[in-house]
Amino acid sequence: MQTSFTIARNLGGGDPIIRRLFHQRTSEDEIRESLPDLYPRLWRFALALTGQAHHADDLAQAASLRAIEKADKYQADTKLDAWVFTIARRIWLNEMRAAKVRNEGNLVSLDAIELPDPRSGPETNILHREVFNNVMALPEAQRVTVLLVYVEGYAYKEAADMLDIPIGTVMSRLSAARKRIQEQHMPREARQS
Amino acid sequence: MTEHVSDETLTAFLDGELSADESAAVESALTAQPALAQRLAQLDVVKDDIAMAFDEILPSAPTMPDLPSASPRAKSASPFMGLAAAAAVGAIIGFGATFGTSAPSAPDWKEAIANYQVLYVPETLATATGQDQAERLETFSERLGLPLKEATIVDGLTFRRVQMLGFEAAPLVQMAYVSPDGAPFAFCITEVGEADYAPKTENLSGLAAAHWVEDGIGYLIIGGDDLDFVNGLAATLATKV
Repeated sequence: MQTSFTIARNLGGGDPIIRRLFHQRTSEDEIRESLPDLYPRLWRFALALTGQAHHADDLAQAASLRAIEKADKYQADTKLDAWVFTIARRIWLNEMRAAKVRNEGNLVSLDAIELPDPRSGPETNILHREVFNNVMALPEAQRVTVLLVYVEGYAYKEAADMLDIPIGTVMSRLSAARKRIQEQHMPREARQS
Repeated sequence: MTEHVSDETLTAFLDGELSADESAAVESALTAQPALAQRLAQLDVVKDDIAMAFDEILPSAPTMPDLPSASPRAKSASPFMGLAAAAAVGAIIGFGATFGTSAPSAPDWKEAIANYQVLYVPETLATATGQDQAERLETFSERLGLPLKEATIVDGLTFRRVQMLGFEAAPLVQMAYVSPDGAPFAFCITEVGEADYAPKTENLSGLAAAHWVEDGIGYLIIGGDDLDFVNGLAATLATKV
């Protein structure tokens, strides 16, 4: 890849077409190289978005393919994960919504698909399983915002850009999600104070 | 000083998203207003637990299927037409969903299936082998009261997977196949409240499809772009289920 750059510079100099030609090639290479490592997180994002394991499988695949197709649109200075997540979200909203696969739509999975089981182990995992279920039980908009900010660690501003919403909406979704998750904890830890 | 501090501000405070000045203001408000501290407690979720809970599911992620080696756009092979068509359909319906009326007309079962199928690419079924589907086939056969096993053997297609979906609260069985050139096909069965009719072929969302209704059950075979081919498949399948 070093070589391509060098050649591009020597050959193309300021020629935008040649630069683009080489840039296009390298960005696709970069995406192809990074996708396998990114894939589990992409799938997890898809799971939070769709709420269903089999939709997550389909969506993660579709987003990967689309990322390769649109490689020339990828700007090297943006975060690849954020870019691919954004692609996945658009596919979900624009194409799968049309296909009525969202829960509020008509094509709902009746398959008794178990949500992915966190590996069984010590009892701390019981808490995690509960937290996972509580988050998955949130409405889609809150779920995906929680995932981006609390799991993926994006700043409010970054999450707002990826979800195409104002920062205030990120705040209100997170605040509503926090309240709900905390409420669901209440019955157990409750009222001893 | 009883300046109102919103839950959103408290959330941003907990998330470290406030400026130093704003944080200081919240802190002094917290000492001054016990009720505020109580509200803060109601929002205080341990973020690390959420992150850890979701990290634990990462190993459950499926492995990434092989991506096509050449840039898909460069190939003129038909499988990728599906995605392009999906994008077009998505754009139109997405527009309608955003700006259209709040009560869209009842969706047609055939269109719903076609809109779903259009998202399938060869890679979708890459990991489905068609093996170990026997038990599911039996379960779904019982649920629909139809023998599905026969429909796994169809000339010109290889059976890959059976799935239970749903349409308008009725179960919808989707049997997925691939053609020799890798194009994904689906045979779908669901209860529809329509009068019986013999197989008809038409283009749905850019895919060739044939559908018929028998005893109130709707059948649809869809995939590729060859209407004659799906018509032949429909004739075969109609005798099997």
